[in-house]
Amino acid sequence: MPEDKELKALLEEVRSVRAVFEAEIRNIRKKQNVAVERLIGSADKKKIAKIKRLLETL
Amino acid sequence: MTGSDNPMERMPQPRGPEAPESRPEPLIEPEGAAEIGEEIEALALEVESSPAAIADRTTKEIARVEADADLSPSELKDDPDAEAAKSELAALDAQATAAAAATKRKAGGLLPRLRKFAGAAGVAAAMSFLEACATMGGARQEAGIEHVEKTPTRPLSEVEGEVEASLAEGSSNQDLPELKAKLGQENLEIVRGVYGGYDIAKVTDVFAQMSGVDKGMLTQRSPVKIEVQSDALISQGPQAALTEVDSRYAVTDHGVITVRAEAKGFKDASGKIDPDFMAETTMHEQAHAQEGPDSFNHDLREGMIEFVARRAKEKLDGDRPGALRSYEGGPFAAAQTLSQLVGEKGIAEAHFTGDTNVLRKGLEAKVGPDSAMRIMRDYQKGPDSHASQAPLSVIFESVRAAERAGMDTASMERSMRDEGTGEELRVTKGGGVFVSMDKPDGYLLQGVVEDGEPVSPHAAPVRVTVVTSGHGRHLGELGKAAGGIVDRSDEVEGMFEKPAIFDTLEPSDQQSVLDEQVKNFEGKGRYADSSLVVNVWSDLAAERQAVADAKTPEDKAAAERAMADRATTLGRQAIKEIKDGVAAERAARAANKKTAP
Repeated sequence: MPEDKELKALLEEVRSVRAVFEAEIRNIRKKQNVAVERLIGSADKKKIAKIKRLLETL
Repeated sequence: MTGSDNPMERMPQPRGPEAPESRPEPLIEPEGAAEIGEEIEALALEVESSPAAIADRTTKEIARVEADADLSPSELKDDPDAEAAKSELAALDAQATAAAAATKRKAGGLLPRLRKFAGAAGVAAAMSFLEACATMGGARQEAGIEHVEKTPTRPLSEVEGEVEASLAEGSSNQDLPELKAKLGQENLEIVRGVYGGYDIAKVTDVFAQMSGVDKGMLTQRSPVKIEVQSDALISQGPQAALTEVDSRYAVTDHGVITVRAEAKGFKDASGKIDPDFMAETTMHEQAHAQEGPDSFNHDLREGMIEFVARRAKEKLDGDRPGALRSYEGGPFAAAQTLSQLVGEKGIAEAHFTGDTNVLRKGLEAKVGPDSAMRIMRDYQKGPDSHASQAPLSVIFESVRAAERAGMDTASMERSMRDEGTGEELRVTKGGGVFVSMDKPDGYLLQGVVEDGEPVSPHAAPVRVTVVTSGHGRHLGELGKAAGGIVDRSDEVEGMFEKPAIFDTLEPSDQQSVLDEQVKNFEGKGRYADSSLVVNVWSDLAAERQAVADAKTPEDKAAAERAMADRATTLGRQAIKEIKDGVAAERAARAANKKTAP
């Protein structure tokens, strides 16, 4: 049936749109993990510096 | 990839004997209506929930880190690292929202074609989402403008002047002594000359002319910095991976182009840096900085960019650039072959807008919707978007589509030869397509052979894609691809670490190597995301049915064994075809050498 054929073609396109979006979101999540790690690392550095300063005053 | 690599697990379940009777009336409920409805609903859910989930995580993580840090807000406030991380997180939130909006626009674009099926129950439920998407409208290029934030503009003269100055005697560039020691003064001057003459605005002009994309938008995405660095400096920084493989020359990240001056490929036989190739490479990177959303398979995207960069260089210089030095063996050839169908503008526009519809529509007009879909299936970004066979599949599908459309495929071969890259495209009568190239360190040949037509335009064809040649890197990839299955990969890869070793082997040893691949292949249906792909799905229909119909565990086990045996036989046949193709290629090459003046 031509309708079946056309609908299948549309199905492929919807799948493709979804696959692209999922890939983009996966990529963003990966970058988010890296940025969160950077944030944690920065806070850790600050904490260490603060402890050092406290130790120096003791 | 989320699915299993086991082909049997990935195969759809066979229909039971009652399936044909339960099929709905096509006029009321066309086949696929329920599936498409479910797919759209799943897409709607993801599009609505993902940006919110990402933003929610950002908020929670920042709050958690601040709470855990035991620091006052003022202590955290002025930390540039923390501020940079927060700003990156905010940008990612915005990217997720923008990706959702772009996806909605794409989904909304399907509405007019889906309306005629709105009467089908499966589709009806999903129509409200598509209608909401369609009201978003918006210019196609909006998605690209999202990248402005990623690459804030700087005066282009400043960007160009900075890189040239960093290579001059007396510069404060601390990397300069290392660069001078590794490159020599003469090469350093050549590199300085490249960037003294590099004009970002002119290149942007050419890109805009080629693609028809708004020049202002491309200018906003211009590179913000170009850095020429030594391997020693690169290896200490975030782009360290650039120095790990000989064939990597440069990288672009957030608008910053890092050029690896010590890359061997920049030098000609006399050891001098080739300024034209370095400029072309920089254009390639500029095209990355100015690119649209990432919608294409990775290798194919790189091939498109290489195609665009080479054409832009030609337009600026008046001469076609010389030999291809990157993205050979498929990625460039795929873009070049596809340009025969959609034109240079089609490739450039698709790249700078990131809009897959540009290619799809161009292909539909030239070769029809079915062929267009087969080509686009491999071209678009998806779960297999790093699959290294994708460029060859695109070449294969493009050639076959051209044949079906009554076009002259010999002109595709001629066009590739005339390109001046040293790459050749060969189309065989037996359903093979080979991309070959003589290289200083070996001979590269990649081939794709298709065994028959797919059962439908939507089904994956029975197809073999294999890389086999005297070029170590590619056979190494093959060995590596088999590594997860048969533990001989180190042996195979190690054997081919030395360049051109395959060509130096005795024919019997070459045969053993190819036999090794057959052995590695045994019993496997498909190696996903590798250089060797065999999909025997449609040829195993009878065997699958026998497994489904088996009444006892013993019958089922026997049927499964028969299916595995048949898969192996099909694979062997495919490998034989490849070997025959290689033999024919080598004979042709030998004959060419003999007749060469």
